Amino acid sequence: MEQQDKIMPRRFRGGLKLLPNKIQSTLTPIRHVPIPDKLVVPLSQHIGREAMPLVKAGDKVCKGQPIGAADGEVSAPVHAPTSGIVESIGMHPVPHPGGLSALCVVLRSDGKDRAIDTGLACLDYLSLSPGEIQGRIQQAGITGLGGAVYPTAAKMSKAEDRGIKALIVNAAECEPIISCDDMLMREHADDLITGIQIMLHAMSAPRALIGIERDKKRAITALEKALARIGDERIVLRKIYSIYPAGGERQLVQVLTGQEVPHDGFPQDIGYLSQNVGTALAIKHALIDGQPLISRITTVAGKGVHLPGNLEVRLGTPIADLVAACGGYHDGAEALVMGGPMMGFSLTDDRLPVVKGTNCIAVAGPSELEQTDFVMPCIRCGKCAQVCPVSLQPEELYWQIKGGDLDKAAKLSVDACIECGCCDYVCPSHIPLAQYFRYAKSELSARDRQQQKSQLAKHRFEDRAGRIRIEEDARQARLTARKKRLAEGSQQERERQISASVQRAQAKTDATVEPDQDLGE
Amino acid sequence: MKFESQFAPHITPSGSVRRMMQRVLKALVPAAMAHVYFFGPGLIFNIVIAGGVALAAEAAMLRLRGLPLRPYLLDFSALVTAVLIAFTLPPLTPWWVTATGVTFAIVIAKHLYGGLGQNPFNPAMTAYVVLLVSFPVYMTSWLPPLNVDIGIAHPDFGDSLFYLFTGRLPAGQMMDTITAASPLDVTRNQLAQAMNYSEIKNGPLFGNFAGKGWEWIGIYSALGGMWLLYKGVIRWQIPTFMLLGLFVTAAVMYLLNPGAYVPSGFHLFAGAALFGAFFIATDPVTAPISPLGQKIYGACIGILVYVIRTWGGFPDGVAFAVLFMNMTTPLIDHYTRPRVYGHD
Repeated sequence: MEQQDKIMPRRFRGGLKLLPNKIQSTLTPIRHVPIPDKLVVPLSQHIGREAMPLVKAGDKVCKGQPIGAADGEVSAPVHAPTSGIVESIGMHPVPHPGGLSALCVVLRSDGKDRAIDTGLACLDYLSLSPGEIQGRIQQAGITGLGGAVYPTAAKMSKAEDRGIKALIVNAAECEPIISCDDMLMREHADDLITGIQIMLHAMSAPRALIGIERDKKRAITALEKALARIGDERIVLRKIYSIYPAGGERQLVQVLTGQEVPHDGFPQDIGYLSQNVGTALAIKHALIDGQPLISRITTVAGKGVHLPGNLEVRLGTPIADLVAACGGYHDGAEALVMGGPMMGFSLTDDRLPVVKGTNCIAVAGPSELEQTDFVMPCIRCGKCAQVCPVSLQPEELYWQIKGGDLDKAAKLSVDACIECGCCDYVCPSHIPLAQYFRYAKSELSARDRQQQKSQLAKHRFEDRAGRIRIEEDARQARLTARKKRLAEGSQQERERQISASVQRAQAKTDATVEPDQDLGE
Repeated sequence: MKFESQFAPHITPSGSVRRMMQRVLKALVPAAMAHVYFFGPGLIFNIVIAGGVALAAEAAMLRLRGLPLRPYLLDFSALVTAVLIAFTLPPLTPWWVTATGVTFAIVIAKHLYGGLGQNPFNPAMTAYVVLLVSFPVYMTSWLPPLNVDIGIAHPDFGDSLFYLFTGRLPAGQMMDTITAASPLDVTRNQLAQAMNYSEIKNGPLFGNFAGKGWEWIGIYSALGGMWLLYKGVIRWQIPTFMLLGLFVTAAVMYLLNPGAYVPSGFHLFAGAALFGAFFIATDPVTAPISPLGQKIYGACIGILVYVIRTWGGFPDGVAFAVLFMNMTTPLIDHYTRPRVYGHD
């Protein structure tokens, strides 16, 4: 394939060339973090509705046993990461940008790590229908592992209806420091390809494009070898330039296909579905090895830890254990971030558990941050607009949002912002631009919801008012008709009517004496 | 272990306003050296006076507005304004003319409009225009370049300094006897007297491309500007299109009637064209932001410079052209927004 040696054109504008800083964490193979005595497993580790607890305090559970059931389609079940006893179910702080608490199952490990047969495995997955595979993916609690944690089966079923031209496998991993996907590809290339094959079958997709940054040389070699071994013509490796945020879903679709995803839609709408390599591996684990999603590979890096690296870790393990497995903190450790330095959010406590979306724990050292800086006024230098990968004018948006004009911000398409933080990074005035846009987006969507709600209430009110009016009109019509009849009719007629009604009333009184006959009236 | 909470991105920003302004100052060094080489130490005095007044005015305004002094004084933006103004002043300018201009720039053109980042008009050019219309004699009394022998004695270091603060020249010298019209002025007047450019350029004030001395200040400005481009402080669109606008307009006019107009090469190297292209028109606060907007803005400035030089009332047109285009910046910004990803 001559195409394989070519590098895809850059295609999206803006972006940044950032120092990858990935070498430190890729020097050693993936290590295993010992299973802790106590695991805190949140029931909401995905986008969508929280899972419903299936266990209660005191229950014995086995590794891989469901402990939370999906609540609806956009939700995912949660499984016991190891065997042990459920200590309690309650609210605990979870990794969340707002520092919220959520319902968690606290599990005390019995140290035996006994697994149950989950019934997920099916060596001949081709004998299953795409729908059945999606069902098993859902049962295995698999969500997008690139960080967005959208339930995978829900994404697939939505996409399948529309017909998929190609599966986009996101192996770009463009954020600095993070290397979990890189290491995964180096060490599990064959399994990854199997996972991709299962996904192709599950979505009846004709081909898969793996988008990978060209400087991940060892991962590329590993994938090329695996592809040569397996020999699946449907799967193509596409090298892309290392420009942050080339791994953003919309940017990757643009680089690999030349098409833009409509602003109010998803890649599925133009015939593409993107999945992260971690997700593909989790699907292989579920359908071939029968293991639900109970562990993941997480990068621990930054100048704040002694031995950065990649760790295979059970979900629910405290972050402190990961840091300990990496030789502990340096003296100057200043900040703890989940996710990469560009888009991750800071954590205030290292006792929080690892969840499905924990692709990276960054521990910033003293020289890596300089955030307390004084914010200067915008000097309109336009650097933000130069680097914006979606061609926004961040400086203009900033003025509007700061001035409280969210309508104008909406008109200037603030919804297209992917919160990549490029504008923030280049701003010489150190204005927290991405934070302004996050605020505007959440305000606008809250307002939209509010508007929908009041629209609904208004419709209900109008419907009810309409019904009342129709009834009232009908009543008035009956009344006038009767008056007219009365006025027209003669005295005699009137008397006849009166006697008739008296007779009716008499009949009614008689009827009440014999209740059985009266039901028809 | 507990940690502080903070917003993404968790990475040290790539630059600062201070570093940008410092780089602008550094980039002005070659042009300043050329200026001193050709016109004596006057520029240095002017920079010192302008810089001092600018910092004092900035501090006073910050105090009045209740803003912290340190971060704003150390952003070097007031100093950049001061140095740019100093470049527009003749070497022999009384201190109070300089001080008036700088105070006007900082107090009125900058802070009364909201301070850093808010001024619609380029403060240095506003000051220059205010001084030009208020003190036309001082502002147009240029010394001839040092290495031109037209029988004019150059004031030495001490004499210059003495004049700056007292307004008096050494005995026996008059302002009229030591100053000369600038090459742009000469060209303009002689063209009006029906001389053509090939005759004019034989005059003592003319060098290889344009006015003696001036052409080199222009070339060194361009060198400093290239360095700013390389460092990403300014972008290529405005300087390129401003020079293109000037060059193409001049070329068209010259081709139409070589007798009545000067060749485009002269326009490029004369007066403040190169200096303005890299240091004045590129002022981020007052220029449009989108690449297309910057091209339109630059080209219009170039055309206007030619129009004002050729048919306007002043010998050079950079300041007026820039100020005029400053007015159009919001309009240009409005109509040149790029299409947003995923939107039609």
